[in-house]
Amino acid sequence: MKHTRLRRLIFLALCCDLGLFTKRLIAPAANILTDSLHIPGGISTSFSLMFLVIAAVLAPGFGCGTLMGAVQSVIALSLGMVGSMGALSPIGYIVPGLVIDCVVFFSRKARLSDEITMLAANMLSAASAGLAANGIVFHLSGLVLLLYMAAALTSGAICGALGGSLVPRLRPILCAGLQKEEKK
Amino acid sequence: MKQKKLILGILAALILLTAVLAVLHFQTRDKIPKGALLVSCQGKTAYVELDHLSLTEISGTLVNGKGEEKTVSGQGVALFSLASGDVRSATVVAGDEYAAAVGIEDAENAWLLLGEDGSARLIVFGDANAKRDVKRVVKVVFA
Repeated sequence: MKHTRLRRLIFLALCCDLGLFTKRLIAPAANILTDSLHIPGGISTSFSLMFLVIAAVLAPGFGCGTLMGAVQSVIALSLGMVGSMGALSPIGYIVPGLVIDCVVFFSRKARLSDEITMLAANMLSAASAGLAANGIVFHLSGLVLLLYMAAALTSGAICGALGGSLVPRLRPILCAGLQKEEKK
Repeated sequence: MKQKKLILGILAALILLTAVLAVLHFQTRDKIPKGALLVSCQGKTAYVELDHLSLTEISGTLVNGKGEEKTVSGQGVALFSLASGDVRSATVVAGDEYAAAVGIEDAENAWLLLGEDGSARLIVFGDANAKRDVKRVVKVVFA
């Protein structure tokens, strides 16, 4: 296996694991915000999705986000980290991954910058994760649903902006091997 | 520079939108005093003080999403004892709007357990559905 491809796969695996486990780390802080807003959730997911978006932006091709979402769902099910969604938790991982792939695909077609792509992908994937959780678990409606979605979009945008500042730093490291091989 | 302004503008707009919706939500949601429940049954609504309820010693087994069993005990009240008249189901709502439905077929296993902080917790013994473990219950709607 070429070094470049191996490096990318290791990076994807790292982002996959970080996305899955950092949600638990940030949950206590996120719960303070959601408790104060009187909504059941929607903030910590954005931080975990940031890692998937970073990987999807840096990796070429379509399907990276969906693949990582699927892997995350398998890991979560095998470790019993299913939360309130139970057996339907794979939907909560795969749907945001698919949204990330779609946003990154259209952003590349439109030649948007990495920062804008990160922002849009993180926002929309956080919103899709929130909608999935609402459909399966919360069944919110009306004003509280609007607030819940606004919180997801806002936290997604903040994490997307944070990720957008990381991507330029990570791209040279990840693509260093590719440049060396091209020179050969 | 233009791009950074755009990103900051989007962030500011979203934070403002969230703040406005939060204020509207706080003003329109039911204000339930601490230590009380809002019980709605057949069109009638009443506040019930948890301290004034006839509490029973409860003990049983809960099953979480991983299939692990945990023994829970404490003082509480049967959920459907709060209803007046014939009801088929109850929707239990927490302070963060998380809600769970309990059918009349689960009446014997559904309890509101009183916590040390004075809040109520929905317990459905033997339930394999982790969705119905609702903490800080503030409202019960019977249908």
